Amino acid sequence: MDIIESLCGAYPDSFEKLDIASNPNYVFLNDKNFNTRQLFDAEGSTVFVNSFIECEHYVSGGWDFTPVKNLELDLHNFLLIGVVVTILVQFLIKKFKVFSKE
Amino acid sequence: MNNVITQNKKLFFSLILIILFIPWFNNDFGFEQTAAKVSQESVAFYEINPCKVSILEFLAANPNSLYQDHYHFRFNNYSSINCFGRISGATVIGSDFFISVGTNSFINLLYQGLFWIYLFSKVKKNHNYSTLEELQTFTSKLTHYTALILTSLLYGFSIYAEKRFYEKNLYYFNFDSNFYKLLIILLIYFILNNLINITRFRTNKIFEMLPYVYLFYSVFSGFNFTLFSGIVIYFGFISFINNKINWKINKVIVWATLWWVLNSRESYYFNPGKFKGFTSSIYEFNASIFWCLYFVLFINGLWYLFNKTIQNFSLQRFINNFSISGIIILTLGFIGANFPIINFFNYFYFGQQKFGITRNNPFAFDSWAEKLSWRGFYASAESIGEFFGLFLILLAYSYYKKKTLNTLEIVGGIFSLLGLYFSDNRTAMILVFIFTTYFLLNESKYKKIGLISAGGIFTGLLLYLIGFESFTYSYEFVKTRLFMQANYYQYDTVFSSFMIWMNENQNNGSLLRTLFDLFSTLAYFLNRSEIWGIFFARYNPTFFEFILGSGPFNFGQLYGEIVINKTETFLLPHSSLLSFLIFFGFAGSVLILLLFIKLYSKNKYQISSLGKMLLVYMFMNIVKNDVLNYFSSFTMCLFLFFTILNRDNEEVFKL
Repeated sequence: MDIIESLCGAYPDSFEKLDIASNPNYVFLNDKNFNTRQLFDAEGSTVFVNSFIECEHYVSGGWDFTPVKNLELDLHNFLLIGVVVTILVQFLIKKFKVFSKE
Repeated sequence: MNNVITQNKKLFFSLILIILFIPWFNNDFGFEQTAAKVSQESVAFYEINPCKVSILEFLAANPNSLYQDHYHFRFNNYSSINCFGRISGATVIGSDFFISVGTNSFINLLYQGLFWIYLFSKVKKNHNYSTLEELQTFTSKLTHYTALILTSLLYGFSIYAEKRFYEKNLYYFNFDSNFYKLLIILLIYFILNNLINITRFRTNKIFEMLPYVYLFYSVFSGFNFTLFSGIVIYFGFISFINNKINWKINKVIVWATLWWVLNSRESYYFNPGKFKGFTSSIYEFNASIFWCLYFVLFINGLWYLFNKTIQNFSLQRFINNFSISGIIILTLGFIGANFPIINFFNYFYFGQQKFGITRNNPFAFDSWAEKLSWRGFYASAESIGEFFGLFLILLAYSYYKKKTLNTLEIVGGIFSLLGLYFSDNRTAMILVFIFTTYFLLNESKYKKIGLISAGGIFTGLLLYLIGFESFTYSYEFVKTRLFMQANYYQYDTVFSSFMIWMNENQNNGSLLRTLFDLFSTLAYFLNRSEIWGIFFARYNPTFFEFILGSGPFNFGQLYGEIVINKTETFLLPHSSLLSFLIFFGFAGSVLILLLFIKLYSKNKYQISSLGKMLLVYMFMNIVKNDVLNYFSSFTMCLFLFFTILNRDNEEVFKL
């Protein structure tokens, strides 16, 4: 399952990919059969979508984050910073013999 | 000042211990419901609320899961960091509950790595100065950091080389992003740096501590490599940088490596299963590069370490470590089989490749009155049987030399006798019986009567274990058993190249065919006809692959290339000789054998009776078991080969 299907559900049979980006006046119509979904971007901003076309458009444009994913990416950043800092601190302790017995 | 340092150290290690156990208390404090009790009717609470309650909350709500054997705790490494130590799902299959506990591979790397390093740091430092401690000069520092960085890069590369394996184990890991490349390499570097810094001051004891590798196999949950192999690989790089290698042998390996890597153009996945940490998960170009380098560095690293530290080896300490390790392995295996939660923690804290056995009766027999092998804590019953057998031989030698045994040896001996019986490794039992009898009777005044009685018991035992009727069949019948089994498992019109060769050369009397007939006879008496028959039904080499092999630690091609009839369970080759045929080909295997014979002839006057026994013991196990596909057994065998074939045995094995 790709990211679009995991966030927006299965592709409808009648789905046709439109070039929405090049049409500034395009208006998304609500689909009564589509349950409203909340999407997130990398900054944690949120948007509600009311049709598969709208959902597919947003997800393709980078609104494919979830709170879990955002938190995970933040934790990966912390992990990297933590490891770099620890390696540096260990190096400095060794270099300047902080815990040396002499 | 010294007191302050000691206090600081105590504080530091106490903090480490707290950090190590805290993750299992990882509750979601914003979640207001309490953990539910699971029942046959419903596990809905855990399906609706994944990653909300910690494993300890779950245990408090379901105390019977601590000891009832229909609860099975399983790791889900593909979980978010936030979910670590929490219940990520639960399911009921029949009457069994499978509880999925969220873990995250990145955290496992840090968590398990630091735990093992912490334990390793508790080993006393070298008494005698070792040159491996040396880090004073610029050159030695440069060598150290170069080797360390190269080792980290190599392990980092393995993540990308075995992408298919890691895609299922690394949560939100973008293989194309430089951020993740940096993250994984730095994490590995951090762990290895600490490991090597601890190891450098303990190198003199490294081979004495080998029995502990059976206990702490040290494979990271969610990864396909072991922590302690990092030490050997690091010294492998050091040996190359310092040019302390045998170029003659390495030239052959380098040329073979070129062939193996260039030949691996296809892609076959292999679930590492109980070989995890010491086998390739995929037969592919990049994976071949990694495992070939790993093999070369492993052999050279172990040889380098051996030469630098063997003079400090003490057989008594080695035997004591065997005792302690054996006692803990058997005890934990028994506790784990009775308490699912202990089984779960055993897997994590000891870095097992496979969960311990859940059958809690090690004395059990099947409906045909055949003893059921019981592997306990370890991944393989046969391999752990070999471990116990090896210890018993050393123990008999210890008694033969000292005429007494210490308490630890006696307790270890009792545990090992039980362990060997539970494992039902009959070859190990027979060999242990022969060798211990030799040691016990050698200087006895009843030697003659004893040897005759032992011979009688041995013959009776052999007839009982192999079966009297097995000796009544003709050679013509016995030599075809393997071929018959291979034909039985051959599927439809799909024939492996080896099957085609066997069918075409049934009775032509060629040297290769005669060798195969002898091998078939051996298989029959070792009860390996079916398993080895399955191997040959699958074995599909090209001419050059038959001669040169497909590269070390690669099973993907064997298990992925040819379809055969369904087997009852997934069956491994059960012979390191056959593994060698896949890895190094016929020529490679013959070369290894010739090298072995050459070393034996060269050192024959220095090989003691113990050395000869250990060689026979290891050779038998190599022929009939996958012993060399386990990190622990491979390292142990290689160390014993190095010692027996290169040193004065009486000197090294003195007590």
